[in-house]
Amino acid sequence: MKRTSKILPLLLLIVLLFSMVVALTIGVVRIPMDTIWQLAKAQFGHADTTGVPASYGITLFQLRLPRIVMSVIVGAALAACGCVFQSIFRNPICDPYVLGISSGSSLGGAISFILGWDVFYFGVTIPALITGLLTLFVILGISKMSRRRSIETLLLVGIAINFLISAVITLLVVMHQREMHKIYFWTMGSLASISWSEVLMMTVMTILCVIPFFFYSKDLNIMQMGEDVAKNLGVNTKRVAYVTLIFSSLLIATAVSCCGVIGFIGLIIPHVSRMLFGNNMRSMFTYSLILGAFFLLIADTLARTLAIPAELPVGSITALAGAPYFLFLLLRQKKV
Amino acid sequence: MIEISNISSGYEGKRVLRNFSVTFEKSVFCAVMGPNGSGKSTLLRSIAGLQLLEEGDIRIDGLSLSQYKPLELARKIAFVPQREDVVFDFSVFEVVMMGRNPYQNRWEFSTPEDEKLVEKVLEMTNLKHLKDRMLGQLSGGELRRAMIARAIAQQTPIIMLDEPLANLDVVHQFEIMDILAELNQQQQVTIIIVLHDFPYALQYAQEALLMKEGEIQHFGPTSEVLTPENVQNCFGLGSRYVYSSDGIVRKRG
Repeated sequence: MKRTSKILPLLLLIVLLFSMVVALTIGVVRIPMDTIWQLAKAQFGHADTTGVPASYGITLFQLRLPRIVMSVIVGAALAACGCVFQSIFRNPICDPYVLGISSGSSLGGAISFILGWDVFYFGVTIPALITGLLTLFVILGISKMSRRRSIETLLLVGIAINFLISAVITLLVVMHQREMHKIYFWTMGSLASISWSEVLMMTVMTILCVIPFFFYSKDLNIMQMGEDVAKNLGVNTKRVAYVTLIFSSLLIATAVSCCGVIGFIGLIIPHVSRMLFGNNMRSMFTYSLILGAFFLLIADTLARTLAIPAELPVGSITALAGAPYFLFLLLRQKKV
Repeated sequence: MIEISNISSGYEGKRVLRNFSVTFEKSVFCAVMGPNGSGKSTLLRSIAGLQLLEEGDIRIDGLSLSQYKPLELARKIAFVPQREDVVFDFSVFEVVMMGRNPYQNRWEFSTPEDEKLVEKVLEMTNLKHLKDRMLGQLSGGELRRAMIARAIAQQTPIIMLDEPLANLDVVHQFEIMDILAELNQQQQVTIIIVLHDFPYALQYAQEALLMKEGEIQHFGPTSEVLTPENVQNCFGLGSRYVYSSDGIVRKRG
């Protein structure tokens, strides 16, 4: 058993907070650390900000900070969902993105953009949730039909669903060229122009959904040994699977509605935390949340700084790292 | 006591068990035997509540399976499946500790008493030195013993095992049978075990259940069930092989 300490997550959290501050300084304009400190003090009271350009405040608190907070929360959320999917499907190379839940959600999002519903609060999230859940039930249905829930079947179903949905989205985009740029950029995943209200929604949802994950972490842990074993040990496998998968889909739909499809985090991060800290679900969740936050923070910082003043879709950055890793896992497919 | 009345069960439209009825008395040691595909595994899975029944009812200590909550049932029956495919690696200790799940609340992974018990079970099953070994690094026989250890740690009045002796060398086969016999005699644990070796059944089991094509052929005290005539018919040994009452099957002539 890989021993996990109680201090390590705390240490990692501190490093994460520090990295967030460092990320704040980086961007089109470099804002030095002491200026950030000054501006932060000014937010909460009186501080001398003479000599600091007025635009710095807006850049910092309205553009960079919500975006950085969002990247940390979305990264954590996606990684946690990956843990759930891997445990329920007993498959180390599956996550909501590979199985097509993310693109399922993006279909609902695209539809709401075309219909102009994106001006409402939850106007994108609810359609995204509906199509995401539909995709989930299709996948569950197919995986139940094939009695041997083999890794290959699930992955192939995921690929087919991804194909299907990207075809439908392409058709929708071509038919509604006015929203083309918006939808296209969004399907690639981007954290640009995130507002505080979206950050708030995502944060609330993440907390709401991670609670049942931790609540069922022990059951999920045993379910990794297989359904029969888990049932015999008193785990209500059906309930655990439905509750955690539905909450994951809710979380995915919220993340997708805020920042599009960002892939591979749910695949890589749980895998890395398995390797480093073992398969126990409680430590898996803890470390995946932290490492996922790290990963997306770095990926998004790269996305907004690599090609200044242009902005890269963060989904393509995570895919650049994730796709080769996925391939590596496929080739090496053996016990994890 | 396990009362099975008129159950039918199977997979994907194929009925494996048909109108199957049998009663296992409390603290019996029963060997379930029969040719491949006779429904032995389906019977065990049905009793463990892992198999959907198309018809009939299974009662354990007077209560129907559906009246048990999952955790209550987990304190009644431990089940060691025929095959264990390991996808995610755990240490032997962690896996045996999972057997304590029915007694723990959802926030604790172990209590000091649990740890003591798991240590004891590991010693009993001769796994102590492999405690921290990961499942993926175990041999087939060691993996099997770990699964049996998990079932013992579950501390249930009924333990069911589906071909637990497969993959084990002869010493470990005897060791497992001795452990089961000890549990049966000292703690009155009901043992229901799918076996393929007649000598083990004759030596250890008080009762035997001979099955063929989803139906009971013979059920009763082992020495009365495993007679040359019954075995000859049940397994279709024909004229080429012959079963003698010591449990050995030989080529005729």
